Order: sequence, then structure tokens, then C-alpha cells
Amino acid sequence: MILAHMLAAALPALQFPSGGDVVHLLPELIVGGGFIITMILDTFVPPSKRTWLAVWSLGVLLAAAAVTVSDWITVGAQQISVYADSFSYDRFGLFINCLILLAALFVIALSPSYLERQKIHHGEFYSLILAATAGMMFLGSSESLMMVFLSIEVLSLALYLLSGFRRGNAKSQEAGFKYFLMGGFASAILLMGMALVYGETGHTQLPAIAQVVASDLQSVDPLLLTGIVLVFVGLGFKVSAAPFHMWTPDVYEGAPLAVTAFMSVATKVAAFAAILRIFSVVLTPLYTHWEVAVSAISILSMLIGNLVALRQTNIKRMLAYSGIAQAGYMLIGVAVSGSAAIAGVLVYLAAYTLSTFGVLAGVMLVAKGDDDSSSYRSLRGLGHAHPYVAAMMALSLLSLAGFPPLLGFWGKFFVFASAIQNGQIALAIWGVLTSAISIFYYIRVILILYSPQEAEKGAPSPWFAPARAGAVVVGLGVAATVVLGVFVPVVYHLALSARDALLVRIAAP
Amino acid sequence: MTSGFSWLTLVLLIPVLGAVAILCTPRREAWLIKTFALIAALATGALVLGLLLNFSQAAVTGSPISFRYAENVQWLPQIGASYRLGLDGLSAWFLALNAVVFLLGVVVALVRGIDRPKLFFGLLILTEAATAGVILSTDLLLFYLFWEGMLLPLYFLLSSFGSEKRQRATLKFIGYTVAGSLLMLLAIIYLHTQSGGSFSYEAVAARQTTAQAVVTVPGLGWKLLTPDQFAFLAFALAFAIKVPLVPFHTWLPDLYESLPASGLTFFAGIVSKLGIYGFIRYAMTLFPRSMHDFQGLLLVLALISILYGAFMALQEVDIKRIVAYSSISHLGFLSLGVFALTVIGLHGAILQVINHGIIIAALFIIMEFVEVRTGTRDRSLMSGLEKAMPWMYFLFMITALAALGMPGLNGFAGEFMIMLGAFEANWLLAVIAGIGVVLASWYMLRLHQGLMHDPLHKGTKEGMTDLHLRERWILIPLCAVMVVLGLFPNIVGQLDQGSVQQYIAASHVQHASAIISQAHHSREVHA
Repeated sequence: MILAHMLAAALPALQFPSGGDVVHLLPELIVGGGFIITMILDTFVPPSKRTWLAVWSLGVLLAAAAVTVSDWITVGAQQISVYADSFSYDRFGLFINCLILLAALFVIALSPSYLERQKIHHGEFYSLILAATAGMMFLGSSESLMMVFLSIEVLSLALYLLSGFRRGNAKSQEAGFKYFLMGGFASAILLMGMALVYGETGHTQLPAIAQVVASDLQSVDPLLLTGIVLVFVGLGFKVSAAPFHMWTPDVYEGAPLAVTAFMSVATKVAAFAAILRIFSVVLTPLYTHWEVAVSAISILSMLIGNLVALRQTNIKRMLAYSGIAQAGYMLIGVAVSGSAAIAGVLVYLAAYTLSTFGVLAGVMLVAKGDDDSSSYRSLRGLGHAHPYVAAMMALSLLSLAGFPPLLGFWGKFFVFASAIQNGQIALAIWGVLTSAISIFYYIRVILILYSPQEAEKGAPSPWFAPARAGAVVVGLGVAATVVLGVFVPVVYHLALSARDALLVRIAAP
Repeated sequence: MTSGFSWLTLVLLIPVLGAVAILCTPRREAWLIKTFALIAALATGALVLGLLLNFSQAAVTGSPISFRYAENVQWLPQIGASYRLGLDGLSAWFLALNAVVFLLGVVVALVRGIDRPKLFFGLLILTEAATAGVILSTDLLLFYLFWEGMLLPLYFLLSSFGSEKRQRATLKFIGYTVAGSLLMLLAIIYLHTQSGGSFSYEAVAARQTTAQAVVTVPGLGWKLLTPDQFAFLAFALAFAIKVPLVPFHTWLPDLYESLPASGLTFFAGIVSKLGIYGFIRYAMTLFPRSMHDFQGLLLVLALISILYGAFMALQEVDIKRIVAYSSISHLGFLSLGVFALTVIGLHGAILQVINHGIIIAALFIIMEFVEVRTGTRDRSLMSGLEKAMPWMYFLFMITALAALGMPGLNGFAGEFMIMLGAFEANWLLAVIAGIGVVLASWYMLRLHQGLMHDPLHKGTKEGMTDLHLRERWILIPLCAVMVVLGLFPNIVGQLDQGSVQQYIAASHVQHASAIISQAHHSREVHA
């Protein structure tokens, strides 16, 4: 019933698309269209020629990336409403687009050889990745609760399928099913929260909600607060913040490496975009009401993620817990809710994207079997057998651990700095102490990579030689963490202009 | 941007370029890699020497510490971080020591040979750039970047070279250091909020620190410390771990035991001195009031380090660990000279930084030469080596005497000045530190006699040779420096150009003004 009301509220916006609006969604539409065409192409391409599907998908993503970059230049500092506030066309969305496209490009560039070796080279892989990418990009620019929900459904459905992509493998099936069940719950909770917010404010469009919230501060209805909390829970599930993280380690472990690499990175980026748009901008007038809850979730995520990661013996599971902890650090930026914090979170997202991907891509390049190759024991001695791959992984791990001058340091730096500037010193100290814990599990993996191998001489190598193209791509990503770490003003400048674009309409309603 | 050529950037750039050149050289061209490393280390050394010779002519800028060769380039203007470098009379000596010990590290590695030279030399001179950056930066964020970034090449260096124990030891070292320095990062950010949005040393030193409210535990009302005191403690912790002062020293013996001499020359020579440097440059001058509040605590830690290190050195049988513990004891001495907050004590500490850097490097090199020849590090399994090794006997003798503070050698002048400075602060400090000197003579002479005198130990390997010519030529210059600095210790003082006075003045300025204002206040009350 209420859903019908919400749709009715959202529909008028969709009925009268003005001509220019389509143009503003071009990057998203290119990827979305690419998804459909890939699905059709798949039926014509013979199994032996599936690498061409990867090439085609790369072309689609590159085209979308080119449009995104040119949009970045043309849009300037404005924030343009698309389809009557369903989406927002601004540099913030474009920044998020860039990160998501980067992740997708990396994954697809590495996938053909990986999928071939794992004997799961099906064409759906590419179309599903494109579908998820499109959903994430839409989420990054969503300016209405309806669109947030629909985008999350698009990306989730694709990811449910991708998690179970190793069809013959029980773990992978479990991952797909678990993610589907838990994700279904989370979506229901999110929708419930949105319904309550809609019921209280009478709007689904974020700018309109912002106006209601800002004008009516005295009488905050408990139902509205309940709705806000439920929305946060739903989004917290997507960024895998504790205590909504239960699915993460199992799904990351069961999903094929390529999917783990993609979703651990891109989902978090997209969901954080929604959190920033909703909480750091629209709901700031109610800041005092949700501050404690978000801080608590942030503290809990840092604690659980870092402590449990210490005990892991599988790199996928370790990165799942590390990702939970990293979500906690980024939530510091949400919990302190300053304009500096938003830029800090954006830098953090960029660092997290490059570094997490660097680690998993390293495993992807050499993995023989998905389950075996990601255990710590099988990574022993990789540093001697494939020094290049191991060096890339080591640098990425050090970036995740936050060593300067790598980009990962700057993410932490800007987030902690914003916390201290806003007087939330306790959060910053907690973040620092838990980061000190995190050093141990990141460095432990590096030690394993460079420790001598136990296998006897003459035994076949437990690794494949890395594919040349893939190795170059990973090298580019890792080079970016180093170079952008040294020339961090570049990233920070981009993050600042994305941040400014996000605040345009709040500053001048 | 100051006029003139950016000499200090060149000091950082030469090692980095050397590392890039080594990176681009194929692994099989080992001779080329070694040449590059030697050239980079020599060129940096020559440049630093040139800077020191022209030091008094260079333009002076800044307060409370005046810097020469200053550089300032906007870097992250949004948050007030800049690329600022500068050299003063104090950091000049650290820079000189830095250049010397890394050159020494390269030479020792060339003489002793090292497997995987590309990795070793590349990381070695990259570390030199990072440590030089720590010494040169005059912007707190830049300082932190070098301070923490130094761990990257060090980590790979420590974990790739040395005995089997190194992995655990390295992890311990990195974990300790990172935990300490991350808190310092928070303190740096806090100072940034206090200095009007700038990370520059000058702006932070000039910030308003009076009338700070004491932080209380919310809900309970317990009074803790002022924010400035918390920030000071964060800095002090980071530096105390690096020095290390005693309760934070546990990473040191294991790590030193596992490292080869080529790594130890620069690790024991400069990396641990950077903690001392941090205390002088940052803890003392940025938090004068807190420095006085916690002076007693720091002095006690320094004394404990002196005695604890000495006693541990006495009970060890492993010759490398004896030297490692003696290093803890000597670094306690250095810290004592700094924490006494007197001009003569600080002079002594700076002199002793150079002395200890050279002595400890020589000692570790000698221990490795002994280990290679006897095949053991157990003190009880060695004796009578003098017969086979007269050169070793002689050079080890000089080094050991310098280490225990024999007059006429360089250790004496530094320790004497530190004792004087400590005496000025409190006579009891000098007395307790004196016990450390006595213990030092005991374990050093016992080590030398035990190894060198008496008949040859039965289980000793056949056919031991004396130091080769090349090995001798590593140690002879070091011993020569020990003699020269022992006879003319004022060489170190000449470069200073009033810097030590500036540091001591800066560490007293607010304290003094607080006393004066109190005096004014009481006078008004009386009136």
C-alpha cells in the first residue's frame, strides 16, 4: 500500500523527462545499455572467443569513463537536478562513478585469464559485472529514496548471482544463497525505513526531505528517527559495518576471487556515496539524534574488524574483516559530519579501492584453485617465485595498513584530522589504536609471502605464471597508490571539489 | 621560497635517484649496482660536507630556532601543509652523522659481501633519503611522513636480511614504532588546530598555550591533563620507543642480534638517534611547559636505561647482545644530557650523538669480524684471539676504551659534558649516571680481555687470520675519528652557531615567562 503511495509520489517526476536530462545520466546509461547488449552478444559469441566479450566490456567501461571525465570538466561546481530530483548530476556523483568504473575496469581486465583457469568462463560474468556497475553508478547519483532503493536492488541482484558463480562449488553456492537471504532482509529493512521517512516527511526526494527536516527541528517525530535508523541499518549492511557484517566473510570467501575483488571495493564505494548524500548532507540538522548511533557502529566495526582479522588464515576472509574495519574508519567521517570529513571519506574510498583491489588481484593473477590459493599456507614463498606479484601485494597491504607516503595513509589522515577538528578526539584515538592492531595482520601476510616455501624440489609450482596484461593493470593500480600518495594534493583537490558540489544546494537552497 | 639553489632538496634527491638507478639496473650487473650505491652515498656525503663548510655563510631565517638553507614550497595549501626544509646547528650534525653511517653501511656491505645486492643497496639508500628527510623537515606533517615513511624501506630491509629470528624481531619493532607514532600523528593534528591551521614548525611553536583547561573524565569529574600535556606525551612516547628508553626497549636486543653489521651501522648509528633528535627538536621546544612538567619522569627513565642496559650487558654471553645492551645504556646517557635542559648537557648530548654513532658502528663491525672468524658469538667460547689478530686487538682496544669513556678518546668529552649538565640540574643525577660509567668500564674491558687475552680457547677454529687490509681500512678511519674528536671535542661545538642556546632558551621561554608572571602576581598581591 505504502509502496504504491511512494511510487505515485515518484512517478510524476518520471513522466515528463525534459530532453537534457538523459544527457546527464549518460555514463550510467552507457554501462546499463552495455549490460543489455553484452547479454545479447553472449548468445552469438562461441565459447572459445569469450575474451572478446571482455574486450567489448572494457570498451563500454572506457567509454563511460571518458564521458564521466568530460562531464567532470563541463559540470563545474553546479549540482543539476535530473528527472525532478530523482538523480543529481554533480561532481560528487562523477567522483564516485570514477572509482566504480576503475574497479570494474580492473576486474574485467584481469578476468579472462582468471576465469579461463578456473574453468568458469561464462559470458554472463561480463554482463552481470556491467549490470552491477550500472546499479552502483546510479546509486552514486541517486537523489531520491526510491532511486536509492532501486539502484541497490539492481546491484544486489547482479552480485547475488555473481557470488554463486562457481556453480559446482558448495562454498560458492552457499555464498550466493547467504548473500541473497541476508541481502533480502537488509533490503526489506531499508525499504521499511524509507517508508517511515516518507510517511513523516511526505517526500521521497532528498532535497525536499532536507527542507522538511531543516524547517521542523523542534518536533522530531520518533517514527522519523526510527526510519532514519532503519535506513542506516540497510546501508550499513551494504558497507558491511558491524554488527551487520555477518555475511561478509562467508560471501567473500565463497565468491570467485574476481567477484570478491569487485564487490568488496565497488559496493562499499557506492553505498558510502548514498550514506554521505543522505546522512552527511540531508540529515545534518538531525545530527545530534543519530550521531551516537553512527559513532557506536563505527567504534564497533573498528574493534570487531581488526580483532577478528588477526585470527584469519585465509586472505579473502582477512580482507573481509579488514574491510569491516575500514568501513569503521570511514564511518568516523560520517559520524563527525563536517565538510572536511566528506572529503576525507572520499580520499579514503579512493585509497581503499586501489589497495584492496591490489591485494586480491595479486592472488587472482597466480591462483590455481580458488579455495586453496587464498589460504595463507598456499601463499608461502610467492615472493620468491613471483617477486613482481608479491611486491604489488605487499605495497597494497602496506597502503591498507596506512604507511605514508602511500595513499592509504592519507585516507586515515584526513578522516582522523576531521575528527580532531570537530572535537571528537576519542573517536580518533580509538581509530589510531585499532590501526596499530591492524599492522600485525597486514604485515603477517607480507611475512608469509616472503617466507621460504615448504614444498620439495621438483614438485609442480602451486601457482600459474601471471598473465602479462593483468600484471600490467595491477602494476598501474599499485603505481597509482604510490604516486597519488606522494602527490596527494591532486586527489585531495578532486575530493574537495566533489565535496563542494555535494553541498551546493544545502548552501543555497 | 627562499632565494638560491635548493641544496637540501638535493640531499634528499641524490639517494632517491641512486635508488631509481639501482632499480633500473638488471640484477646480474651487481658491480653496477654497487657502483651506483657507492656513488650515491659518496655524493650525498660530499654535498653534506659542502653544506657544513659553508654553514656560517648561509642566510638565517625563522624563530625560535634559526634555520639555514631554508626552503618552503606550497604543497597542500588547503590544510596548511608545506614542503619546508631547514638546517640548524643541531640538525647539521645529525645530517653529517647520517651521511657517514650510510656511507659506512655501503662500504661494509661491499667488503663483507651481501646476497641480493640490488634489494639491499636500493633499500639502504632509500632509507638514507627518509632519515635525511626526518632531520631536514621543518613542517610537522612532512616530518611525520618521513618519520613513518622511513619504516617502509626499513621494514623490507630488516625482514629480508639477517638471521632467522629477524621476522619476529622486525614485526615487534614495526608494531611498537607504529603504535607510538600514530598517537603522535593525532598530536600533530591537534597542534595544527591550535596553530591557526598550519603545520609549520614556526607557527606551531608560536601557538598560544597559556590558560588551557584540564581535561576531565566525562561523568566522573576526574582531572587528567591539559590537551597540551597529552600531545606532549604522544610525542614523547613515539620518541622514547625509537631511542629506546627502558620500558619501551624490548624490540632492540632481538633486532640488533639478527641484523648483519652492514645494516647495524646505520640502524644503531642514526635511526635510534632520531628519537633523541625528536626530543630535542620537537618535544623540548614545542612543549616547553610540559617538558618541565614531565622532566622528572623522563630523567628517571634515562637513569633506568643507563643502569638497566649496563646490568644486562654484564650478564649477557652473546657478544652482539652485549653491544646491543651497551647501546641502550649509552642512549640513556644521551637522553640524560637532553632532559637535563642545560646548555652544557645538550652540547654534550650532541657531541655524544656523533661519538656513539661512530663507536657503536665500529663495535658491531668488530663483533661481526670476530663472529666470522670464530664461528660463534658466545663470549665464554672465545679467548686469546690476540695472538692471531694483533690488528684486531689494537683497533678493538681503541673502540672499547672510547666506548667506556677513556679520557683522550671521544666518548670522554661527551659523557663528561653530559655529567656536568646533569650535575647542574641535580647532583644526584650525576652520581647515579656515574655508576653507569663504572659498569661500562667493567663490561667493556671484560669483553675485550675475555676475547683477546689468555691462551687460545680449545674449541677455536683452525687457521684464524687477522683483519684483511680492506677490513682494517674500515676500522682505522673510525678509530682515527675517535682519537681526533677525543682530542678536539670543540670541533662539534663550532658548527653550532648558537643553536644549542636557542633550543635551551626555547625550552625555557614559557616556563620563565610563567614564573615571571607568577612573581608579578604575587608582588601585586603583596602590594
